[in-house]
Amino acid sequence: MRVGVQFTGSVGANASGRWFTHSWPPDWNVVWTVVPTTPAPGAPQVEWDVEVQRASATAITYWIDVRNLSAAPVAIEGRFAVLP
Amino acid sequence: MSAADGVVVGRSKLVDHGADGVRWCLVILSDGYRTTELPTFHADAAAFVEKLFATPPFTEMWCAINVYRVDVSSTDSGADSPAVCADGNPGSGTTSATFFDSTFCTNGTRRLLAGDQGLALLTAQAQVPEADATVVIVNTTEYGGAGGSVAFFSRHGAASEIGVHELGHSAFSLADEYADLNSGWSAGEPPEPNLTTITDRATTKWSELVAAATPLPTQPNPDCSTENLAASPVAVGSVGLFEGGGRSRCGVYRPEHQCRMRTLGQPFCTVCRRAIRRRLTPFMPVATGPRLGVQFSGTVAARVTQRWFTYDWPACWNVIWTVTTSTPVTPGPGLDWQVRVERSSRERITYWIDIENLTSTPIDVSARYAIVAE
Repeated sequence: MRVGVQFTGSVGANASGRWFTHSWPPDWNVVWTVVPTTPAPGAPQVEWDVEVQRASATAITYWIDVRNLSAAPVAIEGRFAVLP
Repeated sequence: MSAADGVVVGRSKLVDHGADGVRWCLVILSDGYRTTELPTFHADAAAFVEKLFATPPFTEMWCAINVYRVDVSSTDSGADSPAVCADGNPGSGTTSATFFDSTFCTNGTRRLLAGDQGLALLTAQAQVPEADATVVIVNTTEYGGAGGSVAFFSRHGAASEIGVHELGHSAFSLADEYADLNSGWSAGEPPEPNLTTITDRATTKWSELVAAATPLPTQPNPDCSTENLAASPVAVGSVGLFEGGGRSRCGVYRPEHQCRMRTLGQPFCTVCRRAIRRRLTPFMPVATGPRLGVQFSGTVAARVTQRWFTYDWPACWNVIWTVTTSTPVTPGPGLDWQVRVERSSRERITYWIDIENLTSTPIDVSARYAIVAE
């Protein structure tokens, strides 16, 4: 199993941002999560959806849409876990 | 003016992301704080930690880092301030009996604030054997700092900015990118990752980061008698060769027009961020477990969305959530769920899990976690 941070960025207040990451081996079992790095206690800040593109026989592209649920900009990091 | 002028009081772990042996350990020491002033040092150290966390790439590398505060009390407050300095900037002439003997006017430059680096390293390692980097906060509000094997910085309003800059020197071997001292560069190719004398596109130090359309040199300095303060000829963030750095105005190049190693308040440039990441990456959490469990169970009424939250999860844990039901449902799906995340503090996360019952009867649900890195 491997874990890491694939991307970082910022999403505007009540806005969405899209990231993509390409050339992932199709036989890898990859789980994506997103966490804010801007502390803001009291309410959920982000949610995300993952879309998948089979770019070729040997590569997958993941598209991750991150929605900022708060009224302030939020910095985020996109984490991956490659499961065995 | 030495270790006889104070005492090591003790240590506290301010940031704990795991065993010291597998994390990059930063030690924050105090100098020029009397015993009664140590609460001020505690606040200063906390402010520095917050600044470091808020400064990319430390934000995304945060889970690689442990931070210790070591309280060292001194006989006197402040730092030495020589009345005469070679750069012509006078000081107050006061001397202070402090543990690490911090003084302004190091190497003849008034703003260079430094002290006994060897004693600082010994003190840090005695308190934190796995120490990887050491900084000293000096109890004076005058602007100053310096980065050698140990970074020193004052309590000036820009103190935490200075501290992060000096840490760039001491922990990540980054060079200054300002050009305030010499007209030319005569030292050969610098070892630091963020300066170069090589202008060939194929072989310059950060060639793989330079776009084909970016001219090289990107911004020559037409007058080596003065630092080139003109606006950038390329878009902000473009990597190229900008003449001036390492305190020399010509003959040496930095990667971007601006950088924290050039100007306080600026983000680290791409090349400096890369150097910091490379140093910290081996200390990032690796996959573990997974450690599995059920965090909560409950019943969701027909056609209703119900929300749960679970708090105080370490922000550095990589947690995967799934929701399942024990209520048989046919045909079609029985539930949907959405995970939302709140960074409740620098170190903690609250997960909010909305579970929607898609059926016309109540269903029993449970939320499962898998901790895949901690």
